[in-house]
Amino acid sequence: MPRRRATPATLAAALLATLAAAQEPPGKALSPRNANYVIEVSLDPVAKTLSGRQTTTWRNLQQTPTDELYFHLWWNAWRNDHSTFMREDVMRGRSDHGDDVREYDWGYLEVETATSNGVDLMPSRRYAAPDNGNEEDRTVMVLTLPQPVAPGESVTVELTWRARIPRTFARTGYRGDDYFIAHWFPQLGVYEAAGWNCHHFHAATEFFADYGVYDVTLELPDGLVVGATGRLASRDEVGSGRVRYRYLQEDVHGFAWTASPRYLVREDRFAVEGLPAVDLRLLIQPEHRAQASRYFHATKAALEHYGRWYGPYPYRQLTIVDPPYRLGAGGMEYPTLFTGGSAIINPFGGGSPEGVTVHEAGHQFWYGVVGNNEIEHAWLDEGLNTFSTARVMDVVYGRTKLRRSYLNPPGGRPGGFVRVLFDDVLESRAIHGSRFARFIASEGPTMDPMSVPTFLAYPAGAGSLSYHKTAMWLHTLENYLGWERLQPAMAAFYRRFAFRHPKPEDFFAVLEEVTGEDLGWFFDQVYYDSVQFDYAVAKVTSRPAAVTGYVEGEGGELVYRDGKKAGEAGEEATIYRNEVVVRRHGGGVFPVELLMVFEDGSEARRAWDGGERWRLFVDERPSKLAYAVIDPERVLLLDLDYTNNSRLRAPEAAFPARKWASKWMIWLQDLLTTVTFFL
Amino acid sequence: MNAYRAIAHGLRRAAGAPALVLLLWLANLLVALPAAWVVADALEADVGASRFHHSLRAGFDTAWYAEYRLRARGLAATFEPSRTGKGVVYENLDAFFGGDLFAGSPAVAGIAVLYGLLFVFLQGGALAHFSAPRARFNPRRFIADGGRFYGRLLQLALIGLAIYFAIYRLARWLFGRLDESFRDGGSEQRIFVATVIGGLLLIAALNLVRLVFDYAKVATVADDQPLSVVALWQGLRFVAARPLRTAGVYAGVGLLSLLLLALYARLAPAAGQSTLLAVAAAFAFSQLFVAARLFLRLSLLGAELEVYRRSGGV
Repeated sequence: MPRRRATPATLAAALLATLAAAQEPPGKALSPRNANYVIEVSLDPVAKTLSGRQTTTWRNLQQTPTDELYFHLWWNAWRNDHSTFMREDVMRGRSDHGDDVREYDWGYLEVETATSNGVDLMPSRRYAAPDNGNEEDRTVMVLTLPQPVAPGESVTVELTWRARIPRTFARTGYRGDDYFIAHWFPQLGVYEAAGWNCHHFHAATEFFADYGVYDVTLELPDGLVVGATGRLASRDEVGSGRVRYRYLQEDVHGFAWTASPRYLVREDRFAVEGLPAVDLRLLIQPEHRAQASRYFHATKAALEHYGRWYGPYPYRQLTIVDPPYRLGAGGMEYPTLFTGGSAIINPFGGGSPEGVTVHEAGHQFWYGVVGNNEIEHAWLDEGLNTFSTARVMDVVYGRTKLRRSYLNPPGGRPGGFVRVLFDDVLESRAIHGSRFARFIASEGPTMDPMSVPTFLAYPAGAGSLSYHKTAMWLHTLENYLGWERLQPAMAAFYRRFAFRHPKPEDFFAVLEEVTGEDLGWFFDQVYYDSVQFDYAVAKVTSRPAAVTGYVEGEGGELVYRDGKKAGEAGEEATIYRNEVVVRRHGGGVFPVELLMVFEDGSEARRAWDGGERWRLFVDERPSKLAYAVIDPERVLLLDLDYTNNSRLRAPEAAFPARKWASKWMIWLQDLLTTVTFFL
Repeated sequence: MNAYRAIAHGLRRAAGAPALVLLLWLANLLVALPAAWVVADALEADVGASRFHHSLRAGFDTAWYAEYRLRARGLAATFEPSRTGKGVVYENLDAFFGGDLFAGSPAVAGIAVLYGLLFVFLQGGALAHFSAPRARFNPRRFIADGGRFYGRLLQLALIGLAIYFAIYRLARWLFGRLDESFRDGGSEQRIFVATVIGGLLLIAALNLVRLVFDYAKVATVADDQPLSVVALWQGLRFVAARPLRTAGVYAGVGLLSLLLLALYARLAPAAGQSTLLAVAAAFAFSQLFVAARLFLRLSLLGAELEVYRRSGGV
């Protein structure tokens, strides 16, 4: 029996019924709502295709007219291997498929018709190559309108299109009967004062779009559990085993949906005093059903702490997706919906799935509400969010335990089924939360400054800049300013740029204004430059302060004195001259403190602006120096080598080194015993 | 002789030869010791005069390790916190399952080869000792026997390694097919179960080969069989003729080994020893574990030899 598809007539009727809703959206507008979409889409589960019809209404917010509309056709990134995405994917060495991309793995999005007020726009269609001149890339489509759209005026364009669903690339696609569908429809770029901002789909960057109202109807086979951006307005069985789901959401800049026969649905509600309530809907894999409460707990933790620190989550619902195994859709954010990810054996305490849940829920704030350009300034959401995630995890869960995965599945991906926690190896917010190890692993003199637009940064390093370096310098700022000063500044940034598209300078300006601190020197180094920070204690010495050698005696004659004998035989206690030489190995300058700890337990602290390449600190007292530490509280988390920040006068590394080597030795001995199995 | 009695006999034989256990343990210790020394020096050099010594004395410091892992080279790079304590069991079982025993380190591979060559020698001596009922351990005879059977046992080991290698390659290919079959579907549970079953089949295949080679080694020593190929044939025939008994003995001792591993994973000293005495106690406890593994290894040899002897060989 042939499947019943949405006919043009039914689609048109539905469109007419829903168009009004989109044009006069309900509720108080939180955003400019200048890019509104009414979409009807039908899934063919056999051919793995989508057939779509959409009406897009766009309002020109700028002061200049335009007679062009730029659309992202994101899925054309996987049309073939000549796209910008695929070429860059090779460079960054993180392919979803490796070299094994088969015919049915590729995807595309082909616009079939485009009209505006009855005028056929297809003859004007062209593909733009705004970033790199790659004429073979088809991810940016340009339509020329019959007449310009004046400032404040609107235009409506009707498109029909057909898409082949890829076998998951960049967290979107299908695997068997499991679907995660994101960035799937022709989506407008952002018209700015300088013109259209509509980049190719790059391998290391994400998305950027205007806010609007989304009215999306999905026609899917029955038997699938569905989740999507927004709230479900209606569910209608239309015969032939097909169901139509209509979702509505205002003030968002994208729409994602997922469908799978395997999802279990769990519901909960976020309700804490002082913050708006949010209905939570979790789509979880049956294997992970016991972890549902952990997903909810982490989501609530994010909504509460981000809500209190920055501002409330403005939507009424949030959908959490524990994606199907190997679908490749885990750990990603979409408006009012995000994906987490877990494993079949995943004990509590290792930060999973809590960490990814807090992070992606947190993106509802940094990305969802504050809609920065992720293609040019990915750090504005990823970095702020990584920083915030680590903070929430620390506040709510404390230090996590080292986690290792064992028993890899065939093919190795996505990692071992069995996760084991090491109770005695604890990870801290500063080191693990901000991924310090990844930061120092990627940091080097050839790294791009963060001011380089993300899509132009070296693909293999762009992620580290956006996530880790930003989190490290934000945490450094927190240490330097104090959370009580940084938090209001970040809250102000959130408030002022909610449903807007802030630029880096906006963030810096708000931080300086609210903290009342000139931070230009800091941003110049961490953002506009790529200097490295490394302070070190180069030398510590203690010797009697009294002079040794010939000095003038009472009669003016030269007499020999032995400083080492000062303090003996009932004389005054020996005074020691304690010297500490500190060095600045890196190019970065940061005010640091020197802590000197003496053998009698006394301490001395000295401030240093950190500017010179080296500096000598001297302290004289009746005790020898035990050790010295530069930046003892580890304010400067960007310091690439903290091991050299402290120096004992008498090294004591032998004991711990032998202790840990003896533990490692058991591993080797056991391995050798294991090897004898084969002999 | 049933499997239970054979195992009991093997355990008694190993327990009755503490010098042999001590010798095997010492060999293991002495091969590992220089490597541990190298790692200790690398750790000491890296921690240097820094204040990290304090946190590493009290426990582990992930802040230091984040830097160390980038600086470490060679053998020192194999130091990971997950390779200490209970991680010893998980890491090596996982490596065994994956057929990647040397942690990607040529230095570890070199040490393993060295130890393997030594172990073949010791194994010959041990088998010869067990083949003489109620004989007292005689170091001179042990060395002489180890040398006497060395060439033949080494040949068997090399043949065995080739077969094990082929099994791992075959398993990798089969896992690749399995992966392919799940390319477009399959729940986590199904793939998990398939992986476990696949793993069990791999382990069964490895152990089956090992069983045959064990009796080939027994035949080499007990019958003074001069030809390795013939010894292998004898081992195969012996196992084929007494599959339940031979497999029962093997599985029994294997079960004891698994229990030992589980016990160590449960009781392995954690990171907290901060005094020399505590570190020494933890080290000694772990050495007991290593010695117990070797004891079980000897027990298996003793049990298998007894089964062979009582059955009158092939």
